[in-house]
Amino acid sequence: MKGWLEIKDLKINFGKEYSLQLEDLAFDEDFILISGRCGAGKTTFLHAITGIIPNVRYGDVSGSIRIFNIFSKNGLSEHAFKEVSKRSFFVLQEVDHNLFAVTVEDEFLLDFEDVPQEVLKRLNIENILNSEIQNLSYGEKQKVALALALSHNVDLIIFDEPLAHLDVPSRAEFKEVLKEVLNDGRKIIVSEHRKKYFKEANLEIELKDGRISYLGSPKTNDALEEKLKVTPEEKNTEKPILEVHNLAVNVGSFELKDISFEIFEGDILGLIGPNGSGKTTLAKALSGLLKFQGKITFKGKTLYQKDLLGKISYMHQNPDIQLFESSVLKEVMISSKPDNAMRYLSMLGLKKYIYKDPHLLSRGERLKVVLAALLSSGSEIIILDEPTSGQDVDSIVEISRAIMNAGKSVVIITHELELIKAICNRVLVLKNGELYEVSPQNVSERIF
Amino acid sequence: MSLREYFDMKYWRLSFKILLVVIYSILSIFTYKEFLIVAPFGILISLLNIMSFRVLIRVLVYVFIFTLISQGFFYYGFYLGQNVHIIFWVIRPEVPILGVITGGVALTVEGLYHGFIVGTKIITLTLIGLAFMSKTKVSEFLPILKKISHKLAFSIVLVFRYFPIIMSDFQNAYEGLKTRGIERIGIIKGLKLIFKAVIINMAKRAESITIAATFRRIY
Repeated sequence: MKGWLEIKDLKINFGKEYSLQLEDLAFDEDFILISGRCGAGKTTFLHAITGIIPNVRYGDVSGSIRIFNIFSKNGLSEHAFKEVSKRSFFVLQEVDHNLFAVTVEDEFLLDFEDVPQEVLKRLNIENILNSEIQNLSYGEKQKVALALALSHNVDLIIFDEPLAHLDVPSRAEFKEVLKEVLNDGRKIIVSEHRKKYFKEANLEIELKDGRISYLGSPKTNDALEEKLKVTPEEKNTEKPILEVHNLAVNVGSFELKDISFEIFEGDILGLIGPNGSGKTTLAKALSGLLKFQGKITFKGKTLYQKDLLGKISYMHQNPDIQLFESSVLKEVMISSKPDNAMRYLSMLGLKKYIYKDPHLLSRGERLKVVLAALLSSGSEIIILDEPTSGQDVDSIVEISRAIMNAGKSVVIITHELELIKAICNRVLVLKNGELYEVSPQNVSERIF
Repeated sequence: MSLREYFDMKYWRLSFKILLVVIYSILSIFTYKEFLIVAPFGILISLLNIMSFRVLIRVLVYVFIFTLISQGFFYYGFYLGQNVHIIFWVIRPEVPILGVITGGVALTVEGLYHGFIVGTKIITLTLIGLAFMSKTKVSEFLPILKKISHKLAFSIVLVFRYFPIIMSDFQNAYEGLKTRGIERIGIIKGLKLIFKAVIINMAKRAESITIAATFRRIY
């Protein structure tokens, strides 16, 4: 068989069951897209072909892998792993961990004698050279990681869910960057649920429960809009549950001023806006995590920062800081009763995992565990920060059903406009420090 | 690397800083002049990026108070039979059982003074380190470090990046728990959950960094 990547009878297990089972395969395509639901084995596949399993992550591997001219039996050996790492670059899902230094300049100086100006110019990031990595947006961090890969002159670049944290314009930008990389004759493997952004892919591998369910040219229609078709119910929007008057928040580098709005009982409120417009800051202020000036009234009572904490629940972008227990069921039951917990867990398709450690699930599933915990808890207002980031299409549908059935006031911060159109009865746009309301039907990509 | 190269004009700033840190650390370890230890507090704090170290500074205040109390009540000079000024007795040596076991417990002036000196020394030494970290760019000494060893450079760079992040982990876990819609939770249960989360997150982060480091050719 020919091709730069060859797999023979690859099997991986992390315990009793096989997580990934592949027959003989050979690939010669430059741009490979790996799709499939959360937990279907996409990340496991990427980790196996690069040798992360079994060298860094634990796992039993059988079968042989050949990547470029590096051949190994029963998973890549340590030597082969190092050889592969010299010719490839893995852009992690949490791209922060790809970067080690404090500033962008240090990042390049760590690996090279000089800053590779040409590569920076190609990716259009010369202007952020002196900024701190902590303060960069996700897209910028991704570009810095990509610049590192390009200046190492690798043959293969692997992306693990690159679109999960990007807003709509950044997604388009990312596509342009990918084209640039492909022009050099490099190979790319992308694992992603949102197939519609990768029409240029040469080959799609769809995984389902650890097996290949589709292999061929990419099916780019993910049919999110059709699957989400539910008309939002008419809400009784007379009783305000939360009123915000002239809210002002200052977090050092960033400021929000004169924000006023109200949330009615049973509202499903979409909050949208470009990256860096302050959506997360506003949400954190509402849930009592930031100091604020102004007045927040909850059910007619004026609340201060300390009282807000715990009254209004907030789902962080990073699910890991809200997971504490050693099994999914215990996790959800920290804040709710068993029958209520089970109801939301089965609604979100997590019933089969209830005795599993939530930290071992995939990122999308971890987000759903936190969501189940919040929806089944006693709080009446829930703020969800990017609940659909890194979720596959079916999960987004499950999430929307669960939110609709909860009967609580929910604020959703998202980049997924299809979701907003389908389930929100009101939409707020935060742009350039101003907050204004639009009707859900008029939401379009022009807002960003 | 020759010594001359080390004191090259390019690195004079860094060399000066390191010299200052070393001299002042040694001085504050050995001196018992309270003025010398306390005086640079203002300067050191003004050098710090307080926001990123606020949790650590709170911990330092607790450490100081604990040192003061423990030294005040359990001053070694008291047990060695030195002449100490007793403010009040907690347990007199004549008390049956407890007095015999402990040999008496009392708050002493000398103990408080000793605790004050030790506590301020701890704070000063930590502040010197933090001030050095806040005021030094990694790029200043990256070239030197890389000449010694790439691995060393990597690990020191990593400390600068992740120290503030790990400091904020506890705060994040607390906020994460509070915003789960839980209004009241027992202290012991809450602490247990927070510690679990922090430890698991650290382990996961270590795994990710190992993967990333391999692809940056740091073995």
